[in-house]
Amino acid sequence: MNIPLQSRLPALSEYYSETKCIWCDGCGNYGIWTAVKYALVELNLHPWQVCLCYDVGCNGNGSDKIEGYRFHGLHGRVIPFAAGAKLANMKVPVIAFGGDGATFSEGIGHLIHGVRSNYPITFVLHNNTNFGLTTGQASSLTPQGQPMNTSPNGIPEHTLASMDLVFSLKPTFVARGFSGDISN
Amino acid sequence: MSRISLKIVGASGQGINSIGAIIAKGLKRSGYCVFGYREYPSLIKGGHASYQLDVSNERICSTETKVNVLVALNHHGLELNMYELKQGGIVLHVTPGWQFPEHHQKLISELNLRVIYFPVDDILNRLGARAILSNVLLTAFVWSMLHQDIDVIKSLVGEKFAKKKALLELNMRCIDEGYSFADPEQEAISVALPPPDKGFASHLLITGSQAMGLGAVHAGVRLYAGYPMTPSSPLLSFIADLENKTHMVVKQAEDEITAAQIVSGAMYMGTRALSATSGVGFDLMSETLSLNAMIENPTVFVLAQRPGPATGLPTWTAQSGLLQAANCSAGEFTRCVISVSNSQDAFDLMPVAFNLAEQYQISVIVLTDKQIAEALYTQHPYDLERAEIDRGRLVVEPEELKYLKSSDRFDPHVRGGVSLRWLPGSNAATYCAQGDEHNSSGAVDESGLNTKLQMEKRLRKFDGLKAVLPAPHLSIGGHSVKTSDWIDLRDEIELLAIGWGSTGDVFQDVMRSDELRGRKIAYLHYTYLWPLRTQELRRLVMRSKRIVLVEQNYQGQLGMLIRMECGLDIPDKILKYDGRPFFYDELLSSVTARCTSTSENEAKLLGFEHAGSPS
Repeated sequence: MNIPLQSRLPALSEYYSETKCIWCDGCGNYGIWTAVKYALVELNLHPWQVCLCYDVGCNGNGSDKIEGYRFHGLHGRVIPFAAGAKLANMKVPVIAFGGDGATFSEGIGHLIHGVRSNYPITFVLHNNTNFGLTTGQASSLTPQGQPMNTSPNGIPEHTLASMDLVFSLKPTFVARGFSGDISN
Repeated sequence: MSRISLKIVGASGQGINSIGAIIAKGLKRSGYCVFGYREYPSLIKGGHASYQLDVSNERICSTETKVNVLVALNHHGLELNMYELKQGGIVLHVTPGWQFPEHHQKLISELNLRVIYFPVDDILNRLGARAILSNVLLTAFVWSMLHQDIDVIKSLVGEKFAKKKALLELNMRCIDEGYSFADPEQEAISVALPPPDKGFASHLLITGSQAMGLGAVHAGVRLYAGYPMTPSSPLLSFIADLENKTHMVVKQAEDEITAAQIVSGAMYMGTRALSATSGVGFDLMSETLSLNAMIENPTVFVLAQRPGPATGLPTWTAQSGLLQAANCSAGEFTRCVISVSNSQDAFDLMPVAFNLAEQYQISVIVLTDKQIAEALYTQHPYDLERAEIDRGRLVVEPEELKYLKSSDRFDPHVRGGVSLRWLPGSNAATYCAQGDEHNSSGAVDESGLNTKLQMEKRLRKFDGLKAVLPAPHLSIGGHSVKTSDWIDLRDEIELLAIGWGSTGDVFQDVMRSDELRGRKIAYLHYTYLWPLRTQELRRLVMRSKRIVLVEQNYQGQLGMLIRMECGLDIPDKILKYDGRPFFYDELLSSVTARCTSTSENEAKLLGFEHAGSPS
């Protein structure tokens, strides 16, 4: 597919969606959502030029609050879907989003093999150290011993050392930010 | 139809397949139709395995339980396979000083078997050749028994070693030695083949998996993702072997879920992509099937059947995946299930599957089984000009793209439920391929009204699809009959058999057998299994004295779908669920028994009632 030369630069408003946000007040997703829109505009990309893939969870509720070719799939599976989309058309930038539940519990195998396979995609991990959308059960990144929805006496399992795991896989680029700090 | 069969048995990894393949190739080049059938345990080496070739000068696509020639590469074959020989059969073995037990000696004299000891080690020593060349020696001897031209086998082996001169010479000497060997204890032994039909010389020798792989390439598949699982693995390997020619992206995924998701992502992006698996691997893919239904993402999955439950019999065959394919996965949605039957439609149906997937924006499940996947077919060269690529309502023209609205993507009011589809990267309004219930542009919408509209949109496709799927294929007495002729058929059908998949070819051979040739036996073969058309079947049943269901599963799964769709119950079933395909002689006797009892019934009951009339 040939992407014609652009005469008009993308504007933030192009990413505006009529769908109302449903995240809780003060949720970090607002920050990530805004930062993604800024980043896409900065990268000089119009919504029709990007593919945004969302996992299930509170992050996934952002799939219809932004413009762009989007996908909202099944829990834990966003990385292979996004990889398939990218491999099918290398000209389209593909960004995948997932929470800590999807990435380090249900879909941890996909994370490991995704990093190992070095797919040319960007993955944005929304880490709130619990399953937010299903009202607060433990994920594997929840601190051990913390009482949660399904574990009133505190969760017995070790907390997974998420970044140690990721770095052991020799990723090409990893950065960590705070969702409240949009400009970074 | 005159047919002979030859079975090579030994340990897995002993070279059974290479002997079988060379003889098959040689016979095909000499003008014979060959059908190859492999049995082997789920092991890399060791374990008793076999490669059987059934040969004729007419089209042949089935295996017999009894053989004319048994080639035993070790003594296990002599212990295990003696009862598989026909009257006057030949046993060729390489075990020095083998003494047959008494019951085998009795069998040998009863069946008038001829036993040939082939002193392979002596000959190898004399030639200074390594053990691996014993296969060449044996092949050459079998070739001489078949009265075939030595030059054919020389040129076949020569092609393999053209660049290794020393090896080539040694191979040629082995061929001369093997070809001229005569057992001092026997008179000259030969196996009579019917006169060749040179037409077969230009055919291909191909497995069902290779046929399917070529079909996928022909269908425009540009990405393949899979996880190894027999009997789908040969397709993965074959497509990977073609990688440097096709430049297809081939990904061995970390599991079946990943393979299914990668393929779905690629199809969402507009690239034809394929994955194949078996049994429990397909269970893992089934959640993705449900996802694709919701986001109306066209996809094609191959389900290569083997006996279950669980890992079952990994290297054996079954037709037990029909209900799994038709019913698995969450929610109600439109899907299409089709089944290949042999190396011809394993090729032909791949473009069809992708076209249906894209025309209806649904998942198409293509069934195959271990028998088709690994059987060796003598195949007429494929028509490479014929494939049509139909991408359905895909919009790609810039002029059309710019008029699109986001709400066109999942417009619930569209005719037939099939809305416009366009690809990420197209300069157009964007949408969300939304796994939650959504409105026309893919935004989440849980309202009752929207849910109802979208559900109806997705399921309305079923009716459109059902209306266009081709009728099942009818043949009477082994000859194809046109749908339109059915109405004009004056005669009553003696026996109407209904089947699908790899059963079909065996049934064709049975109808063409000398025993049943010319009889009014009809066979209705289903390629398109879901949605299921029953109008032709219902009409035929009214003309049939007796009907029987023929399937390789325990429950008679096609029979269950037929009953579900039109109420027709078929109590008489020929079912097989022991991991083996239908064998020619076995199916022939089941069919013959039914034909005999049909005529007996007729004599007894003047007020005949049609079997299985819909209640």
